[in-house]
Amino acid sequence: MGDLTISFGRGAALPLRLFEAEAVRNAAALSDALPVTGMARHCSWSGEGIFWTVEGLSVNQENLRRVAISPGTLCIEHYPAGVRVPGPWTALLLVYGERFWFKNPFTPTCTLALLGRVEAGPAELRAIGERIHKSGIEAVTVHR
Amino acid sequence: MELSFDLERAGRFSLRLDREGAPAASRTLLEQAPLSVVLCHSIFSGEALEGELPVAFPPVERPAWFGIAPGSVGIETSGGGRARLVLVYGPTFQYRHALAPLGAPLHLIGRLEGDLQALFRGGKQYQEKGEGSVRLGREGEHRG
Repeated sequence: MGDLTISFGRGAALPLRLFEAEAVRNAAALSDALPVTGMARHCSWSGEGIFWTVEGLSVNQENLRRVAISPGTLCIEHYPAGVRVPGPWTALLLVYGERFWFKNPFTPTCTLALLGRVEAGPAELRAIGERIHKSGIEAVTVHR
Repeated sequence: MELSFDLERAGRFSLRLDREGAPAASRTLLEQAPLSVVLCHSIFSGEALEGELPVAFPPVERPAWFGIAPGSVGIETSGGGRARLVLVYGPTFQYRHALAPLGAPLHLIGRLEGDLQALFRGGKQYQEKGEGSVRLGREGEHRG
């Protein structure tokens, strides 16, 4: 699937390695959908993470995790139709710090699927997350 | 007793202090007015704004963990003795320490009076546009 990059509008481009062995179908779906663009915003309940909604990305129930998700992990957060909004809701979510706790650990209808990991140091990751918290939403693109 | 509560992204409100339930905290806040605080959107509790206060606050007077309504203003003193101002702007607020047996409660000190729909709209702007200030002043004082 080749090397991917996540680029942020205010600066920074992070190499992304997909979990091709553990998340076979989701990794393939993201690769097929590239480039994926969005507006990244900070989590309001889950702590140190940023997310951006995506449309049309097929989501598969594989490599699911609800706790102990380490900084640098890229996930797909998904709610079926009627749970969060009338239609299905899907977002890419990047954990940037140790203080991340998925807000819905006990709700089986919403899922968090681990998709890949960005190759970045903790300081660089934290700088991006805190920048979005303090300065507001920021354009983001996942691309080759 | 009221304080004016000028939110950069939501407009002007009056903060009615709970002088009976939280006399010491009310007195501390009154003594500090006029006061400016930088507010960011909550990252753990949902629909709330938070910012560090420059002074220490007295021990818990009116603790709360659940059922905290929009417009409520409180002080959180966890985290190395630092005090944080917490403004609840929306109905889905879930205080981050609500499920932690040893977690610090929120010290409720008063409620905002004014257009709470405007408060809700303005509160969302802090997630979209980033941090912004609030200025607390004694009602009736000159504001330059």
